[in-house]
Amino acid sequence: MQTGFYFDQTRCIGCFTCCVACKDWHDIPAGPAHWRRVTPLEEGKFPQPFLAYLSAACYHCEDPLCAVVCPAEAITRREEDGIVVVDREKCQESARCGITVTNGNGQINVSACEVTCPAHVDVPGYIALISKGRFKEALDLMREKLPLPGVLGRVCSQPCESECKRSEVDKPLAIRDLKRFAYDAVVDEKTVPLPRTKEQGVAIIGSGPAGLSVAYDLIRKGYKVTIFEALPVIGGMMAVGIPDYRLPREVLNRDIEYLKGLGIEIRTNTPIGKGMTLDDLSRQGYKAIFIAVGAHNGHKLSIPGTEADSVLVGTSFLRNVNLGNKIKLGQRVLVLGGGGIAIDCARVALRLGAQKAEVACLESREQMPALDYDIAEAEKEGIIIYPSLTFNRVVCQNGYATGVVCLKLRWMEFDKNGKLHIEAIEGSEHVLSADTIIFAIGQSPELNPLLAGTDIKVTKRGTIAVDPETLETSRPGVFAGGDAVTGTAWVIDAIAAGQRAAYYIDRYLKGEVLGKSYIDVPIIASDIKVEIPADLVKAERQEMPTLSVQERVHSFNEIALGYGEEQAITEAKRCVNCAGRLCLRVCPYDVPQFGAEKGAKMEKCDFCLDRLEENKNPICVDACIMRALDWGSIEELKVKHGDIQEAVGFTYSSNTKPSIIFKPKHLPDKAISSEEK
Amino acid sequence: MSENNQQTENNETIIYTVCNSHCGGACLLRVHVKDGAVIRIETDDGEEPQFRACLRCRAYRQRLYAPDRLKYPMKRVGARGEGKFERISWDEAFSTVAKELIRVRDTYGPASIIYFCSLADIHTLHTMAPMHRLLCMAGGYTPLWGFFSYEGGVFAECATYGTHMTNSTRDDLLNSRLIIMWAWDPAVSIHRCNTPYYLAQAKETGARIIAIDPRYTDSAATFADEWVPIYPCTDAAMLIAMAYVIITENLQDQAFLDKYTVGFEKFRDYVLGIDDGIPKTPAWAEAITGAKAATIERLAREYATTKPAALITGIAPGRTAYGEQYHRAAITLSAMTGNIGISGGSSGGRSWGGEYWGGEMPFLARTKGRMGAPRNPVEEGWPARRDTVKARGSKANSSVKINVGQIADAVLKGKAGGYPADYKLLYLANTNYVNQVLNTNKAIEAFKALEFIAVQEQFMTLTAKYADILLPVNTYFERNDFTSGGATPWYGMVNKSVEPLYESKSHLEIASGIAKAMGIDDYNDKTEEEWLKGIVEGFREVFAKDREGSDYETLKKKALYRFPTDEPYVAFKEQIEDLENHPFPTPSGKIEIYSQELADWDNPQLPPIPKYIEVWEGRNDPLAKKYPLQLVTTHARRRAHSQFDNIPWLRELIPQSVQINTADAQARGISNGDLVRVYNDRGQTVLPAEVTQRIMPGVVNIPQGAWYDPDEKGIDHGGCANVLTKDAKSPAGAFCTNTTLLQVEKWVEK
Ligand SMILES: Cc1cc2nc3c(=O)[nH]c(=O)nc-3n(C[C@H](O)[C@H](O)[C@H](O)COP(=O)(O)OP(=O)(O)OC[C@H]3O[C@@H](n4cnc5c(N)ncnc54)[C@H](O)[C@@H]3O)c2cc1C
Ligand code: SF4
Ligand code: SF4
Repeated sequence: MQTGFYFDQTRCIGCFTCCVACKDWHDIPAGPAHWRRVTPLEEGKFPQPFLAYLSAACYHCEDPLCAVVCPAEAITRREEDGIVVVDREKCQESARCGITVTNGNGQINVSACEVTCPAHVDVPGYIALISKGRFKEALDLMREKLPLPGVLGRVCSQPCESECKRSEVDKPLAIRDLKRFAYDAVVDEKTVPLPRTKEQGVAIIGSGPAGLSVAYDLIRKGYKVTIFEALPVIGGMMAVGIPDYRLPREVLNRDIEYLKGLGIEIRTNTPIGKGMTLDDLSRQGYKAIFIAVGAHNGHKLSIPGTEADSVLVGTSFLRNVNLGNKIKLGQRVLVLGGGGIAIDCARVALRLGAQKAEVACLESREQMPALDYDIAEAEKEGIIIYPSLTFNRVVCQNGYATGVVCLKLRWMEFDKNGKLHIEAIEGSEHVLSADTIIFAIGQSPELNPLLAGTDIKVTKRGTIAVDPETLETSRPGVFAGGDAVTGTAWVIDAIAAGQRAAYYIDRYLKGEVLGKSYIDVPIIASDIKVEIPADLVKAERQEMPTLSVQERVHSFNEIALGYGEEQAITEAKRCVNCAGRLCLRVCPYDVPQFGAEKGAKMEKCDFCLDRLEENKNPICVDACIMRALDWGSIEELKVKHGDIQEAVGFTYSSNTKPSIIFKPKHLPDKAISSEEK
Repeated sequence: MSENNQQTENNETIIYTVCNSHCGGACLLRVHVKDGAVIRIETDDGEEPQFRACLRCRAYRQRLYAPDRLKYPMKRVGARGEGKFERISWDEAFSTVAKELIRVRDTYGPASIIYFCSLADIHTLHTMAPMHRLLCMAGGYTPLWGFFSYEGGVFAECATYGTHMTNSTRDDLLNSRLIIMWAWDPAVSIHRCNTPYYLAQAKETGARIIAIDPRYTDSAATFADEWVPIYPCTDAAMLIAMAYVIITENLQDQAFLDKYTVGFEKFRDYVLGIDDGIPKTPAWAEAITGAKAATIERLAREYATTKPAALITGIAPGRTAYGEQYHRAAITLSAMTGNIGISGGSSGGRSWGGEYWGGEMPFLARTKGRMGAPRNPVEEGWPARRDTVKARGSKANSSVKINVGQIADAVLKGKAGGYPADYKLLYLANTNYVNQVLNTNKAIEAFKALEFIAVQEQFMTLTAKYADILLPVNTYFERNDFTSGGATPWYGMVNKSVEPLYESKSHLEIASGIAKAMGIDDYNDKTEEEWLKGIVEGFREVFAKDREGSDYETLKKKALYRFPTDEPYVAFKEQIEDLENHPFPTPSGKIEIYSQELADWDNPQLPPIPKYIEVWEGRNDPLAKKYPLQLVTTHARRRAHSQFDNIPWLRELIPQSVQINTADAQARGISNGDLVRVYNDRGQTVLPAEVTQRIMPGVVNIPQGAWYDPDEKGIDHGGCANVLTKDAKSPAGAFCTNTTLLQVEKWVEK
């Protein structure tokens, strides 16, 4: 049997009587903990606003995940009536539930990994679910924030990992690898189109991660979203930049199919600016526009010799490879640049059959922007790296490049304005020979003809100028983000920008003042201190198996092979659960609540067990002055109240049947004659 | 305590009592007491109609045991307003107050003593009566006249109906086919227990509901099919334009008008513009009210042709300058549509108060057994006031009284300013007067000028800080009393749940103590219980004679006597069914659309027919250039006026903020939650903005009752609305809380 609540939204006046009665009955002090919560939902514009209240206690899930992850095993579901109860003696007592402290500010409940993640993905939450073998739920939890968990499980720059507090004991958690594991472990993910609840449509230019992220958040808010993509493929740099051996096409495609399944429309081969313009989009009725065109314009240095035929640009080179176009490549390839793109160009060249692929760059080895992991893997594959060089000219013979003249550097630095300062070692001039030279020294966005002649401002660096808080451009209603605003960054940054933009686009469309209302986590990882329990045993970090070097360099097959189940669970169990409150993290409805005081215990509705014993209703049901609440077995409630819906929300769909039903309130009919408008 | 109520297994006693905390409701509480302490509170769970309590009563335990309660009598040691006090004994408190009362009476005459006890708890014994009796016995005092809440409504009802008992019981809403909620938000103001519940049921059974209000209130959102935004201070114009449509389309119930009313023709001439050349067309009203002419037309037709239809008129538009006219116009419209005295209709009288058996104000019902008083000697010989109609009630309605909103003005001006006396001593009970009166800053100034102030309080409110002697009064959980449910038909006992906390005392005890110290030995010879027994018997005799369960003993156990509810009570049914034998209590015996009494006063601001009169500080006032926004000060869900503002369980639910339309906010660069400064020439307050589509552009709302909380520079950060309001009174005494212009800007700490 499943006991549940009924909530009549058409009757609720949002008076909070139920909440106060509940606090009084259970003697819960003033503060954030509310067993029953009532929250307003305001929509529409003057003079036709819409207001409804949402009210929920606990959903008393059939499969309560709070109970699954609680390290103290304090939560159980009663077989006889399905009521999920908390043993308050056990809560937080016997197990480690939160060891995070900030500088003298007492316990906080955020972890270093999640505050570092630009998209603030609930890392401890999904790791806990993985450790309990709940891979589907782990993936669902990631999807709450991430539109592209597959991609990120492969190529995320994982800033979180370097902040992991486990490294104070041994090594950080393999966060990205765990994410990948959960993704791979769920084989048949299904999506259903989301209901459209808002009239307005939003146009998104560019189908890279920034564009997809905005689309994901806005379609979940009920808007119609359409993405316009210039290329024949979807995914931006994920499709035409990052090579297959790091990000297999199937993975990217699965992520994209998932998003399309929600109802996001993507029109490929549709560049905006040529043919259709920004103004056309507005004319077609799109009420807001998001520009996420990336940074695809690769540069060469302005040194002599770069016009030679065999001097290429990294982004174009990779795009051609990824699109399956024919490429002429020599036998000795030299890539100039110290970033991930340079490394990828070299590794791709190797896979295309080059005898030798080398990388030369301005930065010292430590300063190279490429990820250490990628550099190390590249070196394993035989790629030689020449750091700390400056390049004077390309040596050419018969119009073909034969090498690059370099000088060794003692020292280099970009100042805070981005200006380069170098000190070369006199007399260190030498030639690095090569028959193909690829420049991968930075890219900028291609903003023409898209923005040519419009009022949308561009920065000195050639990126789109935006308000850093709202990401709105100089034209109201037009927002921009991702590489087109920052220059080449990372997928996760583009996603974070998309989240922020979606938040403000929603406000914009609702006619709200944009202001500074986006809640970013105010704590930074370096301020977070943890008290590692003295008895914590060291445990090896699980390394992911990879293809042998021989197998790699002749194909584009994926290098990293993924964890086995046992390995993943072992790795996940290494998480020390710094932030605690796992119940709250995994609850699909954010039900568990905690008082403001230190060490506050979990507060959650238990249907007033003491009253049930006396054959009384839960206090909220008896308190509601509108008689908007009821409770009982879900089946009986459905019969009794008819015309109901099951509660909506972020759910761990396949395993959980929500146990709240309600009578929904709909937007009123707008039957007012036209002359009155 | 032990004889009433039930005992549970775990040694808890459950006391049945009722809450009537000036919250708009009046509901049943079942208080769990263990070892002499309240441990939790339940409400009615018996047969329907249950009288379920709202959030405020549910939080009462935190009020009863609030750490900031005043625990013992105190005397002021710092400057007035500073809040520095020192503990004293009750003896010292009584003798100081007594000495001061005698000194001021003997030095300046008794008229220089002002006594005001507001409602706070709408009870019968521990309220105005004890101190009134004492002061009348001791030579008299200057009393006040007028209700903060609805003086405009009472005036209009008395002028038009000859009585202010104009409400039906709420279950009659179920018989309406159309309900017009005019500035009426019972979802927040409750307006009698179960009113929102009846509205939900009326809607579910198919009544069409329309909300007319500057705000998209919770009531509008929950019950209304349509919302018509309207600028404050302009309601009479829209009503009059509706009358224009009805008249020009000949939709009025002429038979009803002919039989039951006088003076309709004069009103018609005004509406059509025959006397002033201005036809009061919907277009005319659109320019004034902001409501579209076509909407006004459609609503007028709908109201005139749907029967029965209830026009329920909230009391906020009555709290504007010339608010009297709005209520007069609403009653007139109800008469024109023939909705008076019929089930499902309404009288158009005030939405709250004035219920059928005087129930709302149990202390006003003239039943036997109440604590009486000798005539107030100060009132002797003063003629009746000229700004109130006779039916307004009290015999002693003399012109020596000061309007309830004018204490400050009277104190500051005194005789020289045309007031009957110079005022020196103020005795206040059940009121956070300085916080809740118009123009708080002026009240502060006046309070500094007084010679002596005594305040009965539970908390260190703004008003308490100005007292010389603070008298800790207990809560209704700590004493017994009698009350009633108003338009929810019951009466009952407020039963004491626990012994008085600390050294707090009841009103009767405090007055008795002062009486003794003044040497008035025959002040009172009855106990609380004796008084209450008498009050119950007196009440019962009139309203529930010989009915089972209506006696004192039963009420001690069950708290409530419920009137049989087979049929709703309909106001003026008697008159409509049988006018000959039941004339209206007006001079003409009919509904006076035209009032000869008002005509005789010959005051253009109180015309004999309802008229729209443009207010000061309206949208067209030149001042609007500087202060372009209109203020309304609504009820806050988590307070009862200023009561409960300090209760943590309630505070955390809703922050005090100023509601402002998105467009107005955008123009000022204000985002939701930003601190803003709201100001005009009278004062300023800093509070967060609630940026919303639920209020019309040009209007802002600061829910009244938040406690004034000045910083070192004297700038309020509590969100006290009355630092902004103007202390002018409407011609017939309506309290003008909603006639105020101001400006809002983003707050930058300087
Ligand atoms: C080789 C390479 C390797 C990388 N490796 C990693 C990695 O391992 N990890 C990581 O996190 N990040 C990596 N990145 C960076 C990451 O791919 C980018 O930061 C990210 O894709 C930027 O997202 P975006 O949405 O802003 O732009 P993009 O992904 O560049 O997408 C922009 C899209 O807009 C389209 N577009 C442009 N103009 C128009 C127009 N006028 N009309 C319509 N569509 C238009 C483009 O065709 C493109 O599809 C790598 C990048 C490269 C090039
Ligand atoms: S709703 Fe949340 S707290 Fe309640 S049982 Fe489900 S997971 Fe647990
Ligand atoms: S008591 Fe009833 S009407 Fe009030 S907030 Fe709770 S559910 Fe809504």
